[in-house]
Amino acid sequence: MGVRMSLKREAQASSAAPVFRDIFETHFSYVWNVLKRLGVAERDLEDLGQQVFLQVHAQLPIFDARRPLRPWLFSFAYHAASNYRALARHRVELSIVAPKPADAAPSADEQLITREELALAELALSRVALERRALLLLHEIEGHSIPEIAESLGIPLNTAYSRLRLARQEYEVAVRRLRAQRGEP
Amino acid sequence: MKPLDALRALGTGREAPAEAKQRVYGALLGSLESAAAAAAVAAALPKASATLPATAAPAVAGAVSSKMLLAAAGIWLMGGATGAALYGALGHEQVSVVYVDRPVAASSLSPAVSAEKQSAPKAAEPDATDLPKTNAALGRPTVPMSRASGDPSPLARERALLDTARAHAARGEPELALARAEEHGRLFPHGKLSEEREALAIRALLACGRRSEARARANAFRTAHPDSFLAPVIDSALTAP
Repeated sequence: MGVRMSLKREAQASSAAPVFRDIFETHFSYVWNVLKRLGVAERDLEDLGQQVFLQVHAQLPIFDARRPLRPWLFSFAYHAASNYRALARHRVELSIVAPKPADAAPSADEQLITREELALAELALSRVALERRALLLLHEIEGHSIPEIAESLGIPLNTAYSRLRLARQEYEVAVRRLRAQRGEP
Repeated sequence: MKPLDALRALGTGREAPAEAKQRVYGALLGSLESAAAAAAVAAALPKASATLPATAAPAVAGAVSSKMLLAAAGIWLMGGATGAALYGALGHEQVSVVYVDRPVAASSLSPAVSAEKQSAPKAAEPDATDLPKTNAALGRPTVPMSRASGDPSPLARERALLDTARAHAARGEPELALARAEEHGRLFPHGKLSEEREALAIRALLACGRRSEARARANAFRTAHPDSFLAPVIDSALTAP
C-alpha cells in the first residue's frame, strides 16, 4: 500500500457510508448464508454478521472496486467463521448439527434434483473441512475462478487448486457415507 | 446424478430473516456512530481533560462508555485522522475498538479477528422492538462492556496494559504508550493481543518520529501476521504524512 492508496482512502472516506449501506443491503443474506454454511450456529449468526460487516466497513476504503465483491466479503466471513470454530472447540456445546433441508435454496434445477438430494448435498458440505469447504462454496456453488479465490483468501494459487481437489474428494466421500447410512446405493 | 451436481444446485441460499437483518444493521449503526461521536468528543477535549474522558462522555456522547471513548480517542489521535477522513479512518480503527472491549474467552486466537465476540453474552443486545431507530439515534454502542468479575485473567491484564498504552497515546504521550506496549511485549511476548500491541507500538514509534524503527517493526509484523486485519491500520499509519 502506498501513498496512492492512502489518498484513495481519503477520497473515498466521505462516500464510505452510503456505499457500505448498499453493500449491507444487497449482500447481507449472502454473508448470512456463508456464515451458516461455514458452521456458525443459528444463535450466533447475528453476532458474527455484525462482526463481519464492521470489518467490511473498516476495510471498505481500501477495497479495490475492480475486484468482485463477494469473494472479498466471503473472506471476512471465512475468517470470522474459522475463529469462531477455533473458539467453539473449547466449548463442549458445538456439535455438528445437520442443516435443515429447508435451507437448500430453490433453484431452476429443482425439478431435476430432488429436495432430498439438495439436503444431502448440504449435509455432505457440512462434513468437509472448513478451509476446503470454502473452495466448494466459492468455486462450485458461486462459480468464482480459482485465481480470484486464491487472492481473496490470501492463499497461494497451488494451495487453492489442491484444496479444491481435496474438497471435491472429501465431499464425495461424505455423500457416499451419508447414502450408505441411509441404506441407499 | 453426480454428487457435485446437487452441490452446484444449492445456490447461495435464501434471504436472511428480515428482523435479523434489521437488528444487525441497527447494531452496526450504533457501533459506528458511537465510535464517531466518541472520537469527536475526544478531539474537542483539551489535552489535560482528556485524562478524564468519563466525565465528558455522558454529556456529549450520550450512551458512549468512557472506555470506548478512551479507546476511540486513542485511535483518533494515533491514527492521525483529520477532518473528512475521520469517518473512514474510524472505520478502519473501529475493528480494534471492538476487540478491545469485547469480553474475551480464553483461546489461542489472534486479537485481529476477534471471534471472542461469539462468547459475549447476548444480554447487552438491544431488543428487537426498539431497533433500529433508537439505536441509531442514541448512538448506542452495541459492544457489550461487561467484564467478568473476580481475578483478572491474563487476557484481562493484557488488555488493561494495552488500554493504558492507548490512553497515553490519546494524551499525546507516545513515549509512555510505547513503554506500556514494550512492557506488554516483555510480560506477554506471545500474548493473545500481541498483534494489537505491535500495531500500537508501531504507531507510537511513528508518533515519536522513529520512522525507520516503525518500518522495521511493521515489516516484522507483516511476516509474522500476513493475514492480520490490523495490517491496513499499520500500513495507513506508515503512509500518513
